[in-house]
Amino acid sequence: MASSTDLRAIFFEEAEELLTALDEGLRALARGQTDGEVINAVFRAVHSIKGGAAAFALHDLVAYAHSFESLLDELRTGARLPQPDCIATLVEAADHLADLVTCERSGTPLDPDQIRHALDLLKAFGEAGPSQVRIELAFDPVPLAPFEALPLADMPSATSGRRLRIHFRPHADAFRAGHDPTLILRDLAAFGEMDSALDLSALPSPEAFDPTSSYLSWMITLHTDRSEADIRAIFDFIAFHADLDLQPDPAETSAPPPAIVPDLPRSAAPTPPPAAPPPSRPAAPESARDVTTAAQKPTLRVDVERVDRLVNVAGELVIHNAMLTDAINRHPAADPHELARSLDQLRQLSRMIQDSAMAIRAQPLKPLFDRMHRILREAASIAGKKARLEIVGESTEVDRTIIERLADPLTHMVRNAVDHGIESPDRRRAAGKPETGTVRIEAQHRSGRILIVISDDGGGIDRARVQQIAVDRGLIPPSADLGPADIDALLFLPGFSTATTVSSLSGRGVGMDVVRSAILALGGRIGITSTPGEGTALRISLPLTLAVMDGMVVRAGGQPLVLPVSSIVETLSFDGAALHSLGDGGRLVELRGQCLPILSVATALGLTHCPARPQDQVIIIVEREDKSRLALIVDEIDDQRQIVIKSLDENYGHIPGIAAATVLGDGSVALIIDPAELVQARSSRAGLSSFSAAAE
Amino acid sequence: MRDRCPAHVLAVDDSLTMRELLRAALHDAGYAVTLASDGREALDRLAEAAPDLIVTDLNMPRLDGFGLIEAVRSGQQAARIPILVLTTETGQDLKDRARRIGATGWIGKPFDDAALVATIRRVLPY
Amino acid sequence: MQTALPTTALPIAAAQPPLPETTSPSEHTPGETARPAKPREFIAFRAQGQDFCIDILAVREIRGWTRAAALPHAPHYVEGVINLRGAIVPIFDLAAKLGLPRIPEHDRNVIIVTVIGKRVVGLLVETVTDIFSASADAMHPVPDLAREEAHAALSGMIVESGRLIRIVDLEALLPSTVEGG
Repeated sequence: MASSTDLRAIFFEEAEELLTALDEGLRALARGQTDGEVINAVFRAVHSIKGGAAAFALHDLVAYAHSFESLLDELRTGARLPQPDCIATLVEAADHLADLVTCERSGTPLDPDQIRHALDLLKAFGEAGPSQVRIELAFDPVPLAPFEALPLADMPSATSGRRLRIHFRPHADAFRAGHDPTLILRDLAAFGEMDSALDLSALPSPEAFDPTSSYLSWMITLHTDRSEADIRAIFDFIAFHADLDLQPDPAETSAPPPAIVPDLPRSAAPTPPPAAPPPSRPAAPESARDVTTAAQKPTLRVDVERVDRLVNVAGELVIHNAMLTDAINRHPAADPHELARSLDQLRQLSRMIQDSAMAIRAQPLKPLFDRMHRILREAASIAGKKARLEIVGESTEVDRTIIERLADPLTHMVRNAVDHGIESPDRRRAAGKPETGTVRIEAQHRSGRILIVISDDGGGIDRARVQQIAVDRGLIPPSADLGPADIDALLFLPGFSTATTVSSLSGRGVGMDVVRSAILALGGRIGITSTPGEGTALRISLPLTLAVMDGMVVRAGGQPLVLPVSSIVETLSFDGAALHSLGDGGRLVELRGQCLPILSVATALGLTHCPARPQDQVIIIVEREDKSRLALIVDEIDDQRQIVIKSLDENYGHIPGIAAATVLGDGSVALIIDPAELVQARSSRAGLSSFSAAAE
Repeated sequence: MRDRCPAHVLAVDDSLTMRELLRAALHDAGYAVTLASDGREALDRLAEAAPDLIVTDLNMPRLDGFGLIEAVRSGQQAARIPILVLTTETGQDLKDRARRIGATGWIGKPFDDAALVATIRRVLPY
Repeated sequence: MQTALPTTALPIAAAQPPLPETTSPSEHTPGETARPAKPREFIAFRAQGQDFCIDILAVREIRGWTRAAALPHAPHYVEGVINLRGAIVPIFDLAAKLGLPRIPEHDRNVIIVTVIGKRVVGLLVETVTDIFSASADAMHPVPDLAREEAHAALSGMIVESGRLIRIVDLEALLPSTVEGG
């Protein structure tokens, strides 16, 4: 059973979603989409926050949401038009509402000044401001007054009080509105001593009788000390579907007619027994087929742990499937074809289970991206700049863990784009650009990974300044001869920050190095490109999931290793390759006119164990995120298969050049190589980016 | 304690918080509960859930509470089932509009558990 | 977790050698943990001819030897990683960590799977000898003449049935270089 803390947590979680929906709706309004459904959705978001807040007695939040809602109601009813100034006010109000939710959630006391300011803002807009603010006081959880005091089981003594005559005539359609007069009589009987006479005079002839219509009426005498209002309250539900006369009893005129039993069993009510569900509605296949209304499909909220468990089990299934295959291959059975067929089927099934398990975890990036609107707005307002956010590919789906862990780096990058990328309106005008800068977030699937590009149309990286700062901070020698890309890469160095004064935005010592580590920790890559005067783009590539990938199982240094298939361009046999030796022991392979550096995986990882004869070795060309290629030498290629990614960090820690580990079909562990880091692991143990070789 | 199966309530609200509050309150009171997040989902669930009572919010996406009431009342399934609408104290006109098209009664928002159950007991015998 | 685990229920994956019959059947019962002078229980094992022990509460299970996959750039006493029912668990050579020669590869070696903080870590040892209980006054500090490595990795010593048993400080086993995760 849900405890109230759980419910509170649900409320705050939902409030976040509602705030996002609110923000989205307001943006639609700002774009001129002012149709009823947009306005209604905005209204509903605020209304639902108010309703939930009231349930948890969050008075400040209720009060504010109520004022907000009142303003929105004027829009809804057409009393106010969605003019730009009105929308701007609403956007600001939405931010205040978000702040209030955050405060309530964290239990931080609300700043009374801020609340007053926020309320003033709304008040200044709606003429009826002050009076509306007063209304919320009515939003304390008030139980329905008449019924709270209603003692359903008590039989009050009939000695005191008065006698009332009640004539109660349900309309013919009373049943059709779900009313059951016998229940009303039951509740009435609880008020005192009751006699009732049933009037059957309206009953039609049997052939005209409609079982769904009500033909009965009652003449009731009640001896009670309850007020008339209490008694009328019993009839309030049925008031639209019944006539009611209520008068003091003129002495003793009570007629003793054949009385109806007050507590009529439910079966007497003309509600038909629940019909069996019609067979014409097979829900499941229909919903599975219905792709066009994807956004409106009912969703299921599931504990993440349960999904994780399923994902893990699915992963284990894949492994055991491989183990079984291995075992059978070692001991061929009578009918190898049949075995092979059913094994193949098992493999397909395992993969399907795994895919669907993974799909459960996949979520669109939209909510995350939508949050960036506010980040951008705030950053621009603090920095005194004008900026707008453009989002492309927000429906792209990624594993939820990745989305969660992407929030901070993305926030930081958007702030950076405003802070350091977009120029001030004056400078933009002088440069012949529109005053409002654009920050663009674009997501897309690309070859089994997800690519996110955060770009701005600002001034681009001031490379001379970046290099000067790096020299000043002793990060590179003054004599370093760096290309533009190398200089841009300096931004990712730990501790590097181009902000001459620590602004409230990119302060706190958080620089691009933190963004970079966060992305790397997700198995991702980040790269930066910039054109002076035109802007800067950060390209992030992430795995779709943290749990499985297609891997090529190779052997090097006497042990199995896995290379991500997504990074492999092609494989060559060693003796067929055109090799060139460099003087220092390094080698190059020539491939269609391009010379690629060769790296032995075993050497790079420090695994020295009975190296295979060079002519038996295999060359694998891999491509890194920055499109640079590298030739890796391994002893042999075993297999290509889907592997389950297992964390090394959990029980051990990060190893340069190694992304994670996996379990092979025989139960042994194989490490997963990170080709990009592999190079770094060789060229520099400190793990700095490629410029370091050039700088030395 | 109860000698028949618990009454079944279909609770409809687009707010997850409200749905969970309703679920908790109704469960505690011994009712079986089916939840739906809007009118259309409620209609989809109606046949399968065969509820004894519908408790519904009014302002919802896709199909609002009024639409739900009209659809239930004009349908075959459970045309005479009691329907309680969730309204705020200030929503008198909404309340009346709902009753005119066939709502049985209303529950004031925010509700407390006792009031909710007391109200349900007015339209459900058990 | 395993606080209430009777010693007989310790999963011994490859039970070589079997635990001696003399193993003191513990008086450890779940309800008694609050008593201050309660003797602690230890699991004793050998590595490079020396006797060691660790608190039995830190032991999750004991497994037969499995070849570990070597880890690049790892400290010398890290054997590698093994697959423990789907989790990747690092294996440390206790002898090497204490400055002794590495434990020779042998299929009768045993891995003691322990929980250190939130990490699951395996200790490579030669044999598990027994389980015993000792009270706090039976424990002695590590003598100053011990080598530095030993000092860093031991938290004390116990004399038990004529043997000198070193108490391994599990926390100190984690390589500091990988602590951040």
